Parts: sequence; structure tokens; C-alpha cells
Amino acid sequence: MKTKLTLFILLASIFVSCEKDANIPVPVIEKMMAVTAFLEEGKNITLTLENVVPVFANPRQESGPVTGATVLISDGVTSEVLQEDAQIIGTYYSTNMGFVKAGGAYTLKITHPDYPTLTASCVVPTYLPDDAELDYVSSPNPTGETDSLRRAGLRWQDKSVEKNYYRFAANSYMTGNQISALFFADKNLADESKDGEMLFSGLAEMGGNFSGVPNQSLEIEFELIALDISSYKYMRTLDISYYSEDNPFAEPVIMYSNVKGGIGIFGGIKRKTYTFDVY
Amino acid sequence: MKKLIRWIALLLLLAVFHGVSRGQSSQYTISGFVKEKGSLEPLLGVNIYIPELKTGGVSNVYGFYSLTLPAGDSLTLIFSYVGYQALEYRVPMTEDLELQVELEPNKEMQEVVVEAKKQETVTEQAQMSKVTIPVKAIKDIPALFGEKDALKVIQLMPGVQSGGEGQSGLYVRGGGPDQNLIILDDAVVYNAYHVFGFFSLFNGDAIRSIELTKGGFPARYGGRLSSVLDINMKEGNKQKLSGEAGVGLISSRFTLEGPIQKGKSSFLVSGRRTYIDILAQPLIASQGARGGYFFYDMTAKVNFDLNKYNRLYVSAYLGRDKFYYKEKIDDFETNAALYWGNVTSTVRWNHVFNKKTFSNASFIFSQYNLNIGLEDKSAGETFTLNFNSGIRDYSLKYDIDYLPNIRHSIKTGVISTFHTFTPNAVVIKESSGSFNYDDKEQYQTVESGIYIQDDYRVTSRWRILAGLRISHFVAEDKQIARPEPRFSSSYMIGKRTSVKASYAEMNQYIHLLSNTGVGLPTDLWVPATKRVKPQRSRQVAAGISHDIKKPELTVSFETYYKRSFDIIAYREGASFLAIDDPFSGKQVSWEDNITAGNGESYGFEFLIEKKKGKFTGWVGYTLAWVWLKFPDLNNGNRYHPKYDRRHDISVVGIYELNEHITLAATWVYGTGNAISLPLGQYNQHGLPDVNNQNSLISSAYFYGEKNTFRMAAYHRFDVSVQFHKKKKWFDRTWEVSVYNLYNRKNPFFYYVAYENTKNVLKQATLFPLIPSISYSIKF
Repeated sequence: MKTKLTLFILLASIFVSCEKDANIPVPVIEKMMAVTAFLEEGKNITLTLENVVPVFANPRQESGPVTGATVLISDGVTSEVLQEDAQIIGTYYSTNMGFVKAGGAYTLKITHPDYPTLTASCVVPTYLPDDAELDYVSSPNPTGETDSLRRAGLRWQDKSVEKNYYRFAANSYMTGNQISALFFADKNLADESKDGEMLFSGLAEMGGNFSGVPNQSLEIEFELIALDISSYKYMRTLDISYYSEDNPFAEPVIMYSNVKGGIGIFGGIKRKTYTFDVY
Repeated sequence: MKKLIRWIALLLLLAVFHGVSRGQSSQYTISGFVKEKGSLEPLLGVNIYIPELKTGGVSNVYGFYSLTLPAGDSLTLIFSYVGYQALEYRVPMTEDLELQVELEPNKEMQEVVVEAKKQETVTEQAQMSKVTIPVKAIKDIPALFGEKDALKVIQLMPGVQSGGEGQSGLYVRGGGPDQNLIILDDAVVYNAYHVFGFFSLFNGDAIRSIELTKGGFPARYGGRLSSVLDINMKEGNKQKLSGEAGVGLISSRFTLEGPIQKGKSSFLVSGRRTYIDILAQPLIASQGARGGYFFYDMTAKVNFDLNKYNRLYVSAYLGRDKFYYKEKIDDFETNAALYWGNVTSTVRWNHVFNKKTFSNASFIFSQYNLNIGLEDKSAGETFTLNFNSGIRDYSLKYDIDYLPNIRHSIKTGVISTFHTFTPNAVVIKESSGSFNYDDKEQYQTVESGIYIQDDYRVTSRWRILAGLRISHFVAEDKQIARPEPRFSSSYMIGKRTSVKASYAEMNQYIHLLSNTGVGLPTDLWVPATKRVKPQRSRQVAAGISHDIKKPELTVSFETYYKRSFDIIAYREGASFLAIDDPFSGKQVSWEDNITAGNGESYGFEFLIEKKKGKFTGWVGYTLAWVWLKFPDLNNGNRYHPKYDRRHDISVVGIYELNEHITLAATWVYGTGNAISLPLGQYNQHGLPDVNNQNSLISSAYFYGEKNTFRMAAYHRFDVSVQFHKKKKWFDRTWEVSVYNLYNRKNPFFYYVAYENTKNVLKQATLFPLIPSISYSIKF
């Protein structure tokens, strides 16, 4: 398709008569930071901080990690000051693994002498089902080869009344060796119109070449992640941004942000792994 | 809502009853057809005025009129139409009468001398928000490359905007190009543009009338939210062979019309083809490849007067655009083509039941297709790719005009359309058999509508156009029926001023997926489905209109407020290239790529227009706001769409200096389009992996809110001069025109480029000053 796209653009460009500097004021922004942090029960808090550079700065500036920030996360009662990682620049962490609790509400405050103060808040999700079901389908591929097109999906029970947001990923293993990741059409799912119902990830195709592979053991491992709504929106726009970066016809993606005084995501997640032996 | 429908239904019943009961007294009916003298072309919208009663009527689209008037000695009937000499008849009111009227076109430079009061003016009509474009104006107004374009003339009217530089797409009162119902002889035209929207399909030589309705929609129209563009083709000269032909910079055209059986039947054929590809061929061929672009369109029509009460019309349109590219280097060969176009055909049967009742039955076919083909041959292997998308319609339509008396003009009818949508049909093959992909997505739906409307003259000052349409849609075993009340009214204050108001509800059961806004042929038509609701809108408008006697001007001011619901847009990051990826298993449907939201638009429109005399033209000004709100776009915050234009000004002047020279000029100004520009750049991260390590995804732009920047304002001045001369066998016209006379570099799009250690914002411009010359003849 890219060949066609290129052809199309070339043909369209016939009509472009000239180019020049735009005579409108270019957008200007103040210095700001971009933060990424997902709080998860039983895990260290890890937070990354990047600087956002003006696109039209003269001379051009390079974006990169922000050091020297004071990062404070509070649950309303106690606070944690994150330490700056000496090895991974721009990363801040907490070693208190018991600080984040499922269902807890947290606030973030980042101060830095060179940047505006950044604040955000989130709630860590509580629900993931204990069990889930596997959907597995194998069928001939387009060239007629039997059992070489394999798809799998996950079904799980949503918790009623509350709004839940999920993300999923899966890997398949044959005789203990990883074959490949499974590719889902959309890795994110909200229960907005299916509250309390059985949810389904959709069938994802297993990559890899199965031609001539004798029947061995096949194991599929699903990771199901519960997200707070901000994380859900952020990951959706991140996926869209990733899939559309090479498409010249795609609309610009406005990344979701729940952060004041800057951009980025301060969210809560909970994750669980479900393993299925197919054969 | 239900109350409103009940009120309208009650009003219609009362109105008809009121009129019919009055009609029981002794009355006689004068009816017939109004045609152009010489060619016998039917004339629509001819005003018929009866001074003694201070009322009148108007001919319908086939030229039929009917007036049921009180018995008496005699009455005066004045038939008048812009561009034609008025005719006055004294008719006895002692019996029913059939009166066939032939109006003679004005000779060059001759002013129509008809007292203003004898004609129904725009001010007096109940319907508001309607624009009628004189076909002659289309031919006089300067155009890009000299290519006369009906849609671009319509863009010069208030409330109507273009999408961008050179574009023919119409944005009416905040609606997108998909929300315009474009009808050519009853057939819906789905893509009305050539060359990415730079030229419209409609060859002005074959057009009889163009009418745009922006609000206060009569109930006979339905299926789109924002406007109705009703275009009627000429019928063909029934008396003698005549024609027109022209040669321009990029295309040539011809039109031939004449009688099949003199006075009874006629034909018309018209065609146009560009020759950019032929002219550019030597340049491209010298580089070892062949390629180019061309478009053509053809129109044909025949009509027969079967007898006094029956007429048959058959018309067809065929248009095609094609890009092609061929290259052969050693044993590597590439053939690529992109072609798209419309085919429409209409069979219509007019039947006059009696002096008060006229009917038309139509069978309509319409199709739009886009095809992309690619074939690569290399080392004995062949790779082929075919992409197809389109829409095909079969429609049956039946309309009745019933004119029971002078107070009422009732129209009722029914239409049903069988749509077949093919958003995606992809076939990919490799001759080795290593890869084959064949996928087709198709939907079949039925869209229907039934309506009744009455143009009711309540008093000599007060008119009401009220109606009700019920639309019905069947798709995927799901049925939707929605009532669409329509109402507009005018009230005369004094002799020359009227106030008007209207309300209209519209539903749209088909959507156009477009993420470029430039009218690319890749825009997809798709139906409402279980997942994608139909679009709907409500519009209220109010206005005041005033006729000035000397100079003869009409001044109108309108304000409107429109809400649109369940309109669709591509999700951020999505585009028309929505095919399943056979390698990753990523399954994509157009339904996955879109999102629904609501829109709001409001504004003020001002128009001052001079339609008669040596100098004609208009000044239009629009002050407008458009907002969209989609939960999935711009983080759920409302935003301006690209085509939101705060100020839009058009100035058009046509001056007939003498019988040999016509001067014309236009100046347009518009606020720049709303766009998103990157503000900042940063590295973005995703979810940490199971080891709680943050992963760097990519470098990203930070845009802030969607469409918060404005492109530079658009403005342009075009001029033309036409030299007319009568030759022995024909009239010839040389036209010299200049598009963008002061060479304004209007931005087409912006992009970021790296230059001298910094990023800079660049703009691409399409059309600088472009002179053109054309030669045309008429015989």
C-alpha cells in the first residue's frame, strides 16, 4: 500500500506550485515536562520525566530526560519522595513496595527550578478476575495449508456497577520456547456498554511460520491489565499514534494527558497473567 | 417534537380544507406550460402574477403551472422571468383554459422593463435560505484555467464556503461536503468533483438551472443535513439544431442539441475532456516512463412529448478521472492507475392528470467508483493489487403537484432507493502463489421517504411553506423511521420588505469518510449500521429581505443556528487505508476507524444582489462559527473543524460594456482554516513491562488542543474580459482571464522543515497568478 500512497502523493504534488516560509506566527510554548508513571500495587513506583522542547526553537533543541526534579507522591496521609536513578537518567523511583495499594488515590507533584510545577492524580484499580477462558481457533491459511493459521483470544468476567478499563497482551510458546506475540486489532477495551458481562479480547493471530511444524505442546500466556480511565485513554492515543506514524493521510494524534502544568500520564494499573495449555 | 409534528399535520389539514372549501365557489383553472421561445426549453420558476388579485403562482421544474381563480369577466396574467421578456395576457374567467406560454430571452444589453410589483421576488417567497444561480453568471464569472464551474460560483454566496484553494467542495452553514445532496436530473451525484476537487463535474453548457437550499428545506428534499443542490440539465432545442463548443488551456468541450421530431422531441449531448496528459507526455516520456492525468465527462438527454398530457425524458451522465503511470526498465515493469467517476441515468415520465394535478415518475440509477490498480512484473513474477470502493443506487420516485386553488400549492411524493455500498474490495495476488489476499466488504440498504408539503398563501402578506417528511432506512435487519417536520414562513411588511423564519429537521443515513478535507476520490461512502447511527440535524433560521426599487437591488440578512447529532469523523490516526493486515492479523473495518460526535454552527449572512441591468452581481458576507465535540477526539473537548471560517466575503461584478464586451471580476476573502500545529517535541513512554521498566516508545509532537491555529487568511482577485462577435454561422467569444491577479500566495497546507539549525514552518501554495485564454462558439 505504501507504493500506492507514494504514487498518489507524487501525482498530487504536481499541483503544488511553490513553497515558502509561512507568514503566520509560529506557535510558542513555555518550558514544560512530560511525565509517565503507572502505579501498581506491590511494585516500586517508577516515573520518567522528559522535557518538552519547542518545535520552532532557534536553534533547534533536542528533547531528553529531566534531571534534578523533586518528585512527591502522596496518598493523602503519607508521602513518598522519589529518588533519582543514577543509572537511567530522567527516571525516578521509590523502593517502598508497600506504598501503592489497590483502590488507593494518589497525587503527584513535581517541582523543578527550570520548569512549571506539574501535578496530577490517579486511582489504582482493584478488580481483575481470578479466572479467564481461552478461545482458540486454527484454520487453513489463505494458501490452503491446514492448521497453520492460529488465533486466540481471552474471555473474562467484568465486574458490574463500576466502570472498568482493560488492556491485554499475549505470547504463545511451543515446547517452552517463545514463538511470538499475538497481534490484537485493539489492545484496549472498556466495559462501557457491557457492564458486568463476559468480555472478549477478540481473536488475535499468532505470528510465526507454522508450516511443517509438527504437533508439539502449545502454551498461550495472556496478560490482562486493569487501567484507570486516564491510563486507558493515554494508551489508546499512544497506540493510535504508533500505528499512524507512517500514514501521511492520518489526522494528527492529540495525545491524552491528565497532568496539569505539563503533559503525560499519571495512572494506576493492576495486572494478572493467565496461562493456558492448548495441547 | 411529537407536538410539533401534530401541529404541522393539523396545519396542513386545515390549510387544505380551508383552501378546498373556498374552492367550492365558482372558479376556473388556467393551466399549461411555460417554455423558452425558439428552443421550447421548459422554464422553471417563472412568476405568474395577477395584479387584480395581488397574488399569483410559479411554474414547476417542468414548466407546468396551474392557477385556479374566481370566475368573472377577465383577469390579467403577467408571466415574468429574469433574463426573459415578460408577457401579459388578458384571459376571460368564464371557463377553464389551457394557456401555453413562450417567453423570449432578452437580447443582449436589453433591460427587462417590468414593474417590480408584477413579479414575485425573493422577498415575497415563503421559502428562505435559497440561492438560485443564473447559468449565464457561471459563464461570465472568471474561473481557474478558464474552466467554468457551477460549484465555485455557488461558493461565492453567503453561507457557502470552499474547503481550500481551488476546491469545489461545498461547506454549507457548518456542514461538511458529505452533507450536501447534489442532484442532477433527480439522480444523486456522490462525488461532484474532478482532480481532487479543483473542478466540478458540471459542464455549464448543459445546465438549465441550479438552485441551492441552505435551510428551511421543503419536505420534498431529504437525505442530507446541510444543503440541497438541485441541478437540471437542458432538455435540448426542439426547433433547430444548435450547439456550443469551446477550447481552453486544459480542456475542450462541446454541446449539441436539436430536434428529433420538430416541436415534439429533442436531444442534447455534451462532452468535455482535458488534455494535460497529452501536453505533458513528451516531458514524461523522455524520462523513460509514461504517465499522466485526464478527466472527461459526457452528458446526454432525449425527451419526447408523447401527447398533450405525457412527456418522457431520458438523461445520462458519465464522468471519469484517471491517473496512470507505466514504466519499464529491463525486465522490471510497473503499471499503476487510479481512476474514479460517476455514472447516472434517469428516466422520467411527466403526466398531467388534469388542470390542477401534475405528476412525475422517475427511475434513477447512480454509481460512484474508485479503483486503484497496480501491477509489478519482475523476473517472471507478477504482483497485482486492485482496490475498489464505491456506491451504487437504484431509485424509484413519484411526485405529485396538486394546485387546488390560488392559495395552495401542494406537493406530495415518495422515493425509495436501494443502495449497495462497497467500502473496501481488495485483491492482492502474486503469480508464484505465495501470497493471495481477497477481501470484500459490502452493505446493502434501502432508504425511503414520503412527504407532503403545502405552499399556503394565508393572506396577501403572509405565506407558509409547511411540510412533513417521514424517512425510513433499512440496514442489517435494522429499521429506522424518523419524522422530519419542515416549516418556513414569510410576512410582508409594507410593499418591499418581508421577515422570514424557518425550522427544519433532517436525517442522513449515509456517511462520507474523509480525513483530508480536500475531496480526494479516496473518500468512502458508507451506510448507517448497527454500530454507526444516522446523522441528524435541526436548524432554525430567521431573516429579513428588502427590495430596493432604484437601483433594483435585493438586500437580505439571515441568521441561523444548527445542531447536528451523530455526525462521524475518522478517529485520530485513522485513514481510508483500512485493510486487514494479513501478516499481523490486525483486523480493520471502517467502523473501527470512525467515531461519532455532535456539531453546532451558527452565524449571520448578508447579501446584496443586483440581478438586472448592464451591471449585475452581488456582495456576500458571512460571519460564522462551527464547533464539533467528539468524545474520542481532542480528549473530548469541543473544537473548531478545519473549515470553520469566521469571516467570508465575496464580491462579484459583471458588466456588459456593450454588445461586444463583457467584463467580470470577483474578490474573495476568508479567514484561514483552523489547523493543528506541533507546539513541542518530546519522548513518550508506554506501560512499564512486567519487570516494571518504562519503555521508550518514540519521539512525539505535542499539539495542545486540536485546530487552535489559523492558516493565513485566504484572498484572491480574479478578472476576465469576454469579446463577443456575431459571425455568419455562429457567435464567437474570446475570453481572457486572470486568476489571482495580485498573485496572492494563499497557503494550501503547512509543514515543518529543518533549515539552518532550526525548524521552520513552511507553506505550500497551489495557484499563483494564472492567466488563461479560451475560445468558444455558439450556433
